[in-house]
Amino acid sequence: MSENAVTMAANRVTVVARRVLREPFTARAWRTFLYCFCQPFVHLLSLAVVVTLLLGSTVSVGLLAPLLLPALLAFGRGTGSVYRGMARNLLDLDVPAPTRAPRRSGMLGFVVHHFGDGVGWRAIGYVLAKLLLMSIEFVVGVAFRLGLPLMLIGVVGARAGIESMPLLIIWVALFFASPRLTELVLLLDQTLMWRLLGPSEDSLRIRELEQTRSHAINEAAATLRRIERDLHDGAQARLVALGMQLGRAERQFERGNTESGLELLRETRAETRAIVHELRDLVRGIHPPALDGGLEPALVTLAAKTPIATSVRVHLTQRLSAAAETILYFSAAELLTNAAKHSGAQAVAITVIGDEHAVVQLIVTDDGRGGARLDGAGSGLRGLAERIRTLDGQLTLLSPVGGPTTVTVRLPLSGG
Amino acid sequence: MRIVVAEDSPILRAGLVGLLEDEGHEVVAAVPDASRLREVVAEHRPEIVVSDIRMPPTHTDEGLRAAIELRAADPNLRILIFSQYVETQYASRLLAGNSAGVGYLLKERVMDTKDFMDALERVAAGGTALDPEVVSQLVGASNSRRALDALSPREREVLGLMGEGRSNAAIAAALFVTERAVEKHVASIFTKLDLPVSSADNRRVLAVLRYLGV
Repeated sequence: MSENAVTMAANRVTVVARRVLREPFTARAWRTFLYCFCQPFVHLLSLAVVVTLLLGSTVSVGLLAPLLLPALLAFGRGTGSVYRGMARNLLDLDVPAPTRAPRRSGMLGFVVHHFGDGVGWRAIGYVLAKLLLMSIEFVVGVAFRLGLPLMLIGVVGARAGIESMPLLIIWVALFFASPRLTELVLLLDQTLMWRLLGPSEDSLRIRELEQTRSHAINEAAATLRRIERDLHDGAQARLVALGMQLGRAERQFERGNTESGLELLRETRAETRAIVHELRDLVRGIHPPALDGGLEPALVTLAAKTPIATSVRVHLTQRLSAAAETILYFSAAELLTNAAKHSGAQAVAITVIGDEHAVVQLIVTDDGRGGARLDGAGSGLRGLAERIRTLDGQLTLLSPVGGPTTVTVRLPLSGG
Repeated sequence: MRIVVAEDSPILRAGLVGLLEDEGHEVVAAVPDASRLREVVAEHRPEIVVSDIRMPPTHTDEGLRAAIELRAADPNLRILIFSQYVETQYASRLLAGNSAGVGYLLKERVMDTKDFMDALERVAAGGTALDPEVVSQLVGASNSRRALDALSPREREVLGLMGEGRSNAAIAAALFVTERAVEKHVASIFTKLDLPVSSADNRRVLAVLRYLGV
């Protein structure tokens, strides 16, 4: 037993030792080395330009500032993209490029655009903040790695004796520790880049809003198109056919063919009923009439029409906005359809809870076979998630293979 | 008459075939899209094609394009186009070449079997049949409104019915007046609008339509 434990411990040590010994020679280590090696050259150059332009503006007591500051900001933006490029190529770190705010009209717009450009100023901030970080990166990433080979050359060249042994051990340790330490320092650099060279929080939010807005517009257009097609191919065509049939019946009666005229009239009545049904379904798809009475009766009506046994529990202290009610209703409808189609579930539970944090949650759980995926074919979950995002909500899916499946839709109450 | 029907809605197609057969015509083929339409026309060589405009795959103007092609290949083929909507642009394209033996009707016209049969027979005989809705839109959109204002209300009515492709006799029946009264109105219209006088009904339609800017 204990022999076994010793062997296992020894194995683990071997594994760790092997990894540490290999680490300085991995592709990743060479790339971080190259990155750290390049930093002083790129950085000192950009720092020199930044400092010159800043000093120029100050020394001239602001006289040259109108010329120098826009140049400085433009330089900052350019430098930012150089840094992002290096990070992308050498560190596999993809910092998205920030978008410059569009220029407003008027004098003030001109001034803000050229002197208050956030993207440029933040990049300048990065250049200034990087001075210390760049030095550490160079020491840890380059000096630690080059120390050992240089020392070895020295030892061999000078035929040094045993007295250089402690120093050699230190350099060996630093050489092998270098990759790990470098990663640590780069983590700091990474945070700095995200903050100062990437898009700001505001612009990320704007991008999100732009995306969800265009999604909402496209979706509305697609819905209108679908309704138009449904009406054109469905009710409208059927009404024309109905009129046609009435015309035929009329002709039969005129010619005295009572029997065939009556036959046509009977068909007409059956067709009329079909049209009424079709219109009712269409109307329900646009806005379920049950929703006028609130979310709960609408969900209960929905549950009653579902082939699977479905329970509904609603705990709300206030009536939700029409937008929130509609999206929650259609989410529940879509999730129920999915459960009925794909899950093989025997029972579904729908719960709606509004909590004190101004968030309402719709939770739909089924006892089916699970394994649902957001990007699964035909599940429509992705489209649903997109629609929910337009109200600043979010959809989460928990569906381990073997079940159960739980989908949670969270909506902020204020947003709708 | 030997007729080919092209209509993508099964229910309308069946209704149309039933209607035409009730009236004693022979429907040699009924197809759901434009490419099948081209095939069956080549195969059966019908006298007249009754076709929808919006059909698969794109649901835009397949039927119209097929009709224009078929007529280019065989100018003697009669075409009656159906549509759920009034599109003056469709009418212009259809009438751009030769307006003899073409018609453009709204689908709901089919409900009035007698009117529909009249239109069908007019087209089959080489005349023109335009939906009143189409004509009134053309009149409404015309750049020659000033000249149209010179017409009396009754003359404008006659102009509309001429645009639909009706003969003097048919116009007289529709307005409950004598044929001679219609002839007088027509002459007055042609003088006021400065149109060339023509005796053939469809050439007369063409003159009116050209005048309206088709």
